[in-house]
Amino acid sequence: MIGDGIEVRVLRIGRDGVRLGVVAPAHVPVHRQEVYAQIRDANQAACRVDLADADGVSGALAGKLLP
Amino acid sequence: MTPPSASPAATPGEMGGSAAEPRREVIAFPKGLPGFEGCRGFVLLASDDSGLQCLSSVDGPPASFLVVDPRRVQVGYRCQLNEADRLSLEAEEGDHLLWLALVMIEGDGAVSVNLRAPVVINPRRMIGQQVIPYHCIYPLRHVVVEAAS
Repeated sequence: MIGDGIEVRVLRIGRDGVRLGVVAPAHVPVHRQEVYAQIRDANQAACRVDLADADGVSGALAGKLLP
Repeated sequence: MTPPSASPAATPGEMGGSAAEPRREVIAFPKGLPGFEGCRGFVLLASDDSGLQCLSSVDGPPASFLVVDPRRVQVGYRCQLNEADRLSLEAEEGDHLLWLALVMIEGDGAVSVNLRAPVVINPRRMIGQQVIPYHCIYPLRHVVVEAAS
C-alpha cells in the first residue's frame, strides 16, 4: 500500500523482470511517468511565447482542416 | 463522451466602456498543464474563422497554445474520459465538454497536432484540464502539414 486506497501489486515475476500493477480508486489518476513526460515535452514544444509567427501557420493549417 | 464543436469563447465588450476590451472569461485549470503546472487560469481566444483558437495563460508564466477541434484533423475522433478526469472537471451527465488539441509548429515547417492528450474544458463549470485518456488510440504527433521540402 502506498497511500489511501493505492496499492502496488506484483502481477508476474519472470526471467526478464517483474510486472507491476497499480490499483487505485476511480478518482485517482494513474499514469506512467514516461507518458506524462512525453506530454510535458510536447507541450513545451507547442508553447508559443510570441504568436506573431503563428499567422503563416494559421493559413497552412486552416487549409487542411476538415469541415 | 462525444466532443462538441469548438466555438469562439470571446464575450462581447461591455456597453459604454471607454477602453472596453472584450471581457474574456477565465477558465480555471487547477492542475495547469504538464510542463506548465503554474498556469492556473487560461482564456480561449479566436481571432478569425479559421478554426484555430489560442489558449493563453492569464497567471503564472506566460504561455500560449494554438488549439484546434481534434475532429477537424481526425475523422471520427473520439476519446473516453477517464473517471478521475471526469470528476476533476466536475462533468455531469449531459454536460457538453469542449475538446481541444494542441498544435505544434515544428522546426522544419511541419505542423502537427497532439491527439493523444487533448485539453478538455467544462464550460458550465469553467474548468479545464489536459487529459491522457487511458485507451486513446491516437498519436501524440499527428502531422497535418508536411515539412517544407
